[in-house]
Amino acid sequence: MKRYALIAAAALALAAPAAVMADEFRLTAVADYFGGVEPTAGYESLRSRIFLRPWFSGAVPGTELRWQLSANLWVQPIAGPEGVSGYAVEPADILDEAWLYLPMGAFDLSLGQKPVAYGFADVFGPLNVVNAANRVPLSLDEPFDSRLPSPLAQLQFYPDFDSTVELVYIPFMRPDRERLGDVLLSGLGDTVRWRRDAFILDNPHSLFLRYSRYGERVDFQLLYGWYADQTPDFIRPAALNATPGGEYDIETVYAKRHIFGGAYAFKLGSGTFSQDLAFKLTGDLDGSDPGERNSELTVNTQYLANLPFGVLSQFSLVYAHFINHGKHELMPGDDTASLDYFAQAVQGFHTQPLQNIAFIVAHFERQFMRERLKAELNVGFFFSPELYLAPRLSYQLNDNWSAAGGADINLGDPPDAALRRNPNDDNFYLRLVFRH
Amino acid sequence: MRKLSALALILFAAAALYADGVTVDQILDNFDKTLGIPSIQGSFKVQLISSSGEVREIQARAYQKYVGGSQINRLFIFDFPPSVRGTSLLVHSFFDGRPNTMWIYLPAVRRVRRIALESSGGGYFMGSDFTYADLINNDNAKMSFERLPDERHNGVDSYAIKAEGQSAEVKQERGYAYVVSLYRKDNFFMHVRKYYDFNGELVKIYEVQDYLSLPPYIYPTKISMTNVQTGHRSVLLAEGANVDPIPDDYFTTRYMQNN
Repeated sequence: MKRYALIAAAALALAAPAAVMADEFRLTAVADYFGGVEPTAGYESLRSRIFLRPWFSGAVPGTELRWQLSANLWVQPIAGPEGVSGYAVEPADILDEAWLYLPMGAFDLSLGQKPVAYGFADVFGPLNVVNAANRVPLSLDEPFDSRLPSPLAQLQFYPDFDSTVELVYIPFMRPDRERLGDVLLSGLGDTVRWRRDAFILDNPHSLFLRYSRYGERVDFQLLYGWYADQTPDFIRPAALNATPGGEYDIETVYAKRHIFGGAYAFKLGSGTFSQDLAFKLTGDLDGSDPGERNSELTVNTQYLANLPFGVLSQFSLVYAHFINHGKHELMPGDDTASLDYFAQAVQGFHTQPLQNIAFIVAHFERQFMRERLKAELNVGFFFSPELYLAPRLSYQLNDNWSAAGGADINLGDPPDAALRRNPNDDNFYLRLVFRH
Repeated sequence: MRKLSALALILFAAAALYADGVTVDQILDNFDKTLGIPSIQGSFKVQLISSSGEVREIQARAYQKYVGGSQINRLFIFDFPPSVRGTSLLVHSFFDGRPNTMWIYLPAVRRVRRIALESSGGGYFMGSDFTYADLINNDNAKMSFERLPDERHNGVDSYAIKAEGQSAEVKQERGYAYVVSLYRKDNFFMHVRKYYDFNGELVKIYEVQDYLSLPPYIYPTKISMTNVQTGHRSVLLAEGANVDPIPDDYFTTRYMQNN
């Protein structure tokens, strides 16, 4: 109780001066409920959430300096199978965005915590690596809390009206927020211990350099990044075997990556075609370390099309090749079965189950009643019996209130991986949103 | 003899019809001149009025600037309702056959995207009865024009011109079989436009109910669009129009993301 009182006091201390100085105030308030409808587990209450995001912005009088401040405040009356401590509000979670912006002729400088998005892909964008992901939400298209803004310095240079050269420096990356507690790998008898760091302090300094151009015929971006990956690797135990008495704690570690990538978009017919390509170079280029992520080449090809009867659709084809996949080395003390088990668990966690994967995500939406009612359907097809369906319905009650509902349904058996990040449990949600 | 008389009558009527010597090209050119304001900015509201009388409103800031002789740049930044606040739309329109270029900035995802909104959602602007084509100048090179008998609308004598796409593809792109536009005889300003669907039925009527005179330019400040088939109506109100020069950097993705 004392902890929550301190958190509330901190939030008030932040918000009060901002409220006084702000030129603009906004508020997003959400109440939602998730119910699990997995056939094998029966019905269960997964989560309910009451979420508030106050937002302030203003300008420093007499200067060009502008600022923005927002916070995430939420309570979770139903926390799901993980229990009450599943995901409590941590102090580091409260601050959403807090940054200063200064335009200086052909330059813009931003300092503080803010989100930065790269690439043109809307889903599974391989270039979108600056901000950590929040794996806690149950919907893959969580609209409020899916990305964690990063503390950064962003310098943008505009050599002409169409081009931007951008340099982003992040002193400490934020790690992905995971949804699982410690996990026993039953095939090994070892336990994965997740870290709960708010920032990756033991691997500082990340840099991104991007050139982008929005031209008459084509838009494109070129990106290089050297960064601490927000998704952890796993330190392999001294010996990977199922021998009783040899139980280890498997720690996680955050490693540096290089990313080389680009994206382009142009109008094609009545739609827009875009492609994001990224080569991510990890420390495990030869694939010998079963605990580390493989280097990969990923391409996301996307087409935004206008179908008949006013249906807006988007098709994304994602293909990824994982270099030297399955080349993990047997070390003294390992047995092959245990090594393969551990490697498979890690590969599943990193979404690198095979050397090559491909899947299609299709999005359809149609608006009715003069854009008051919106119906959407997301479909994920994995070139296998697995199929992901996510219908959505939202209705604008008035200018401030809206109601929504939807479901995430997976047809076919979910992957059997102990560290799988999304349990793929079928669920539905009901949501009420207020915006001011 | 009777046939010759009938023919003479038709020829005489045709000659009398266009005895004023004003051609379609002259009407269109003079109309274009009324709209050729080098720069204009202001705010606008679009009221969406249902057949039952319920009103919803969209508010935005708008900026428009002519660039050279063949390009207009437009920027819309939406301020209301809260669900679209901060969204902006940047349009580069061309009059020399090049396709329009459009980008949208979505603050929720912090990304500028190239789009082809003209046909999205049937091409209707934010759920209103205006389409994007209604709000963005179109290249007349793809259209055929025919002068019709003059009309008098709300006491205003007007030239009438029928316009239709030169191909089925163009008609499909515009969403209409043809339109009939009325141009005021006193200043060549287009104040009424009637839209006809592919069955030849009247779909909607565009009507300028008020305008700002900035000689030699005319800027419509109140436009209604009535869908006669559904009973919907939308009213666009422009406020605070200002013709001060607008910097070119307003029409950039940088400005979209930071304002």
